[in-house]
Amino acid sequence: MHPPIPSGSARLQQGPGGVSPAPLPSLRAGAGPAAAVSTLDRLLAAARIVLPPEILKAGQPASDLTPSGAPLEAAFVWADSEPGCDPRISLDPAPGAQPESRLEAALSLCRAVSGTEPAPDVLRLAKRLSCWQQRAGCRYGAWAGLRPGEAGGLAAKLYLEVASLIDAKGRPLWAAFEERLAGVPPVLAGRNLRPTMAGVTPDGGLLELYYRTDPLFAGDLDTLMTRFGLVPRGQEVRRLVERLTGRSVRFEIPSSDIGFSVAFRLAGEGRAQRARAVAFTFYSNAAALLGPDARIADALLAEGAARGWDMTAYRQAFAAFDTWHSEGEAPLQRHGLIGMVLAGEEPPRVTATLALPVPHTGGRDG
Amino acid sequence: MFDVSSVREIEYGASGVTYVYQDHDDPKLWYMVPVPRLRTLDGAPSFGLTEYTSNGGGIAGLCTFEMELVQPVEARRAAEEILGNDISWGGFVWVGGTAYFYYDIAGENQVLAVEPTLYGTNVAAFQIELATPEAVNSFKNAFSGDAGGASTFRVEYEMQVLTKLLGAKATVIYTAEAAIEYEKKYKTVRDTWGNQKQVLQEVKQVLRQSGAGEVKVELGPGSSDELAQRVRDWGWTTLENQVANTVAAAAVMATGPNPVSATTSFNQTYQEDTVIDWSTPVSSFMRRFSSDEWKQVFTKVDNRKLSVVFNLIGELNRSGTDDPVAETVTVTVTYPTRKTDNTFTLIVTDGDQSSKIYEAPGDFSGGSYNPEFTYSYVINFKDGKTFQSDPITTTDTLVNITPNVFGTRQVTFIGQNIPFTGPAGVREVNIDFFFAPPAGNPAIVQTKTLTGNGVENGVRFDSFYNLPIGQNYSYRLRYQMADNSEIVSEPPGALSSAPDFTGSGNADIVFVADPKGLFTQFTLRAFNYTTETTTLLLVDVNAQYFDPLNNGDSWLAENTWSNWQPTGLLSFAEPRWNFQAVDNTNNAYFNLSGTIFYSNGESFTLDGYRQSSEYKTLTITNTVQNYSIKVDSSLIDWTQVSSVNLTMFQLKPQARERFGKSVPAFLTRPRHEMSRAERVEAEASQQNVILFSLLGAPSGVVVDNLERFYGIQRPIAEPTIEFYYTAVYVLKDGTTRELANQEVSGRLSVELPALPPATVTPGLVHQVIEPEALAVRMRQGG
Repeated sequence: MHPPIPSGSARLQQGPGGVSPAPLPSLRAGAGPAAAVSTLDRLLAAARIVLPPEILKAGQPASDLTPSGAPLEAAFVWADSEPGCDPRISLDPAPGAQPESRLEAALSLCRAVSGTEPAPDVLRLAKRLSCWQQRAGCRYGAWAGLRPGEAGGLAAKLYLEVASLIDAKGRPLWAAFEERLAGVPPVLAGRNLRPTMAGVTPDGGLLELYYRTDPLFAGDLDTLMTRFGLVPRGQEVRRLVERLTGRSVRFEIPSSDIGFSVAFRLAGEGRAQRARAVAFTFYSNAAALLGPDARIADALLAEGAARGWDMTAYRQAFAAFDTWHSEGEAPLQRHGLIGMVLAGEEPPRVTATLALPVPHTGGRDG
Repeated sequence: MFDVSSVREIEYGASGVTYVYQDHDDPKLWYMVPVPRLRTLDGAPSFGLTEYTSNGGGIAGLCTFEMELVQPVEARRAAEEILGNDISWGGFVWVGGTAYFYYDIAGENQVLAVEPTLYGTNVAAFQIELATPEAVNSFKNAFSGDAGGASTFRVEYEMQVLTKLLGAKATVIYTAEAAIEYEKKYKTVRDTWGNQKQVLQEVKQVLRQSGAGEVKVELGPGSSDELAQRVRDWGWTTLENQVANTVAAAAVMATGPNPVSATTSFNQTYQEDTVIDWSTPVSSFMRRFSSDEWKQVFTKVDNRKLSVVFNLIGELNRSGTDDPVAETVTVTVTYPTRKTDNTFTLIVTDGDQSSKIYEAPGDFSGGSYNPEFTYSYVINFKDGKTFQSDPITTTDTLVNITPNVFGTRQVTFIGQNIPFTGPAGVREVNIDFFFAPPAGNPAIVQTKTLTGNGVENGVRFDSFYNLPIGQNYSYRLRYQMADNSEIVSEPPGALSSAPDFTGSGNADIVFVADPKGLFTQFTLRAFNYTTETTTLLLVDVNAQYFDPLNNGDSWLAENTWSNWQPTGLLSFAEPRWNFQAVDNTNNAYFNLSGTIFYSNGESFTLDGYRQSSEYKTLTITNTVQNYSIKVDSSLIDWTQVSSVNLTMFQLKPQARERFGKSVPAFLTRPRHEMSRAERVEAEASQQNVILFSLLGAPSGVVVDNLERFYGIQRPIAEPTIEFYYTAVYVLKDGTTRELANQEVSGRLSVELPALPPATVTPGLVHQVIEPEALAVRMRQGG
């Protein structure tokens, strides 16, 4: 039996791979730290404006977003050919709240960031999935994501839990939804593939579906990518896992807790809407693949050094660990996921998520 | 011998991957790791799936199939394209192995492990009883389908072959604390520790996710990163197997709910040039059958049938000559529904005819399915002699005929990294080796001398009796040091279902290591069960380690835990006690003294409590108290006796009630000698099992009459201490004698007699200490 997938598992918010983030301006000049500011720090500083005040207060209930209970999680994305680490954050907008309230809070945050109402298709999707959640029961309902936006500001993403609601014939309701997106029948029936979350941009242009699966073999990834009309690149995932673990991947990918996501570019509205897969991301729970935090960090830093990635922001964020947990308390796992983003034939991008301490509220000056 | 540092990955076909190794001396000689394939017999797949429509006798279906290892032609071709057409191919000499079938039933992953034959094509026969219609459907879905192609079920072989660790040094480390912490975290959803083969999958996950496992590889000059990866692969496999063995042993020996918490840390370094058993896991998905084939392999019948796999496994060639140990084995099965055509022949070392799936219509004459059958066999030896076995009645559906059945014993001792040079080094190692021969043959402790490391200097003990012998053997290593001192290292008897040294029946490799400096860890743990009103409040314990054979009467290491306050359900006295010692778990022991204080104001004194060093954890709980039983072996008449095996155990409370005075005799046997049904019963009813293997001495060497100690638990709510034991004496003339059924009361010691009388019927000693006698004993002791 596998441990339950830690919250935050399938909830990275990278785009379809090829979109480079715009350079981040200092959104709140003077508000952030004076020197040695990492791109993540700048994103966090910018995000503080829109974060619900509740999550910045001390003594909040532990969030299901991360294994450590933190309501904030950073995602780093590295690629050989790209500078920086393309940071994003995901957050629990209402720790301890009911799923419906959390969905409302996440929608509010999306509105605050984009300055407009989410697209009708997005609201319809949120309503539909929320209905499934209420009928089938669910764990969290929704999260929100923030990343650098096009015009130097912020961009939001809405994450919706896909509950496993069964119809009268015993078929999950998500099956038709999923098959319509994919455009072709499912594959790998024996691997227990099931979508667990949908991530959607407020304009409705991009929808990412996150799946959890039973153990997969490297060849299975090719089968999956082919189903979605993507170039089969399972070998690249296998090689990454071999480099990170230092061991050969001969059979199944050596993790008890894995999944993947597919990002779809959406065009049209309502029934005329068409989806085209643009990126595949392999995910593993970082601990299930590499062990405790220190070993995950060692593996990522070694890989980053070998490939020339900018690990500054990641290193700084991870170093904050020591001062975070209470004295005498066993540190909880901070890493969430490790993954590889494969978009078309573009170079692969490697991603990792890390729970973050709640930003100091004392610094909020406006 | 192949060179591990020459490993090359070979991709072939659509998605096949295998590995090739170059010979150490001949650059044109290569070895290819074979891959699993479904066996074909007379052109048909060796596979059958049966669905029972009405009388399944407790099951809904049965799947039986055979796998083998082959070198695919296309893999050879692919390799030759890279390595050149002028190469030749050598064959691996397997020294052990396991085949695993990975499948799932209604989404739940399962694994079944069997031993492959180790000769021919390493045939592995699997038989899976499918309990429910859902399970049958899972198998139907996995193996059928219009499109054919690959199934989601797969078979993996993990085979071992001897070689040298070249170009790298490896250290495998197990940190018990991390595994225990992880287990505590997930204990509510994971509790599948048990049989070794089953725990292995869990072990893999625990070692990886908890950080309890670590493999460090240091490359030698000029070695490649690819070698580092292969050595790390091997190190992890080695570590996983060692931890799985440790957990399995803890499960047999320990009381308390969590065997993982009774494991202790270890680390082991393999220097460059060390001889190792290299492991090369290989795996293949099974295939789906076409609709035509499906009609042949799938049957639907009303009544369950009897289906038994008979298998010849293990090293069945004589070492040195490579002659088979016998010609054929003729098996006769007696079952009510098939009284004719019930004899078949297995041909030794012919991989194609070394196994048989025997079937008969189910017998329902008693109203329900009768799973019990009787078989006997005749071994036809090369010299024309035969051996007729006694009839054996069982319900086991897998019958392995192992080398010991042929009277064959081949055990090789190989020096791994013994420091044979230097003033503080080892001059030579005398190996005292013993096993019980067939009745009527002299039983003596043999001694041979090991003077160098490596396969070429290995020392082999082999015997060919043409009469069955037991699976067990025992040995003692006497290191003669350069300074003329002696260090003795003796392992305990093999008890668990995963004995370290009896893997293939009896063609085993025993690695002999440096005698000094074994990392030893002792753990003091406490369970505070919340069902009790009285809790553990405070513990003061002093622990000492004694190894009388090597160090006489003085303790070698000592540690004290003062004012330890156990908290929560499970807690550990920190820091763990680590020290270096000789690996002499057969007769070294821990001596513990101290006081345990309870929340109700009472206390319990550990007064010179002693337990075997085989068991490196002491468990204190608020439900039991610990006493030790001294085993006195000084009376044994070693002029007549070669060896004594003493098995001691306690019964779980519910089993004590169930058995009453009729405790089953099979409980005295090692788990690997039990049938499957017996093993299940033993796991459910026995606890705190220990086997003391007392070995006589070769002529000219004096036997040390050492005391052994059995740590025992008494439930606080039950004032009487109870335990059971049996002792098997093997005499030098080859006969055996055992203790008689008897009740002994009032003693916290076991006195083994000089020699049990020849006339008694073997039985079980039930020893009981009533509270009054215990109080007197404790007063005397304190």
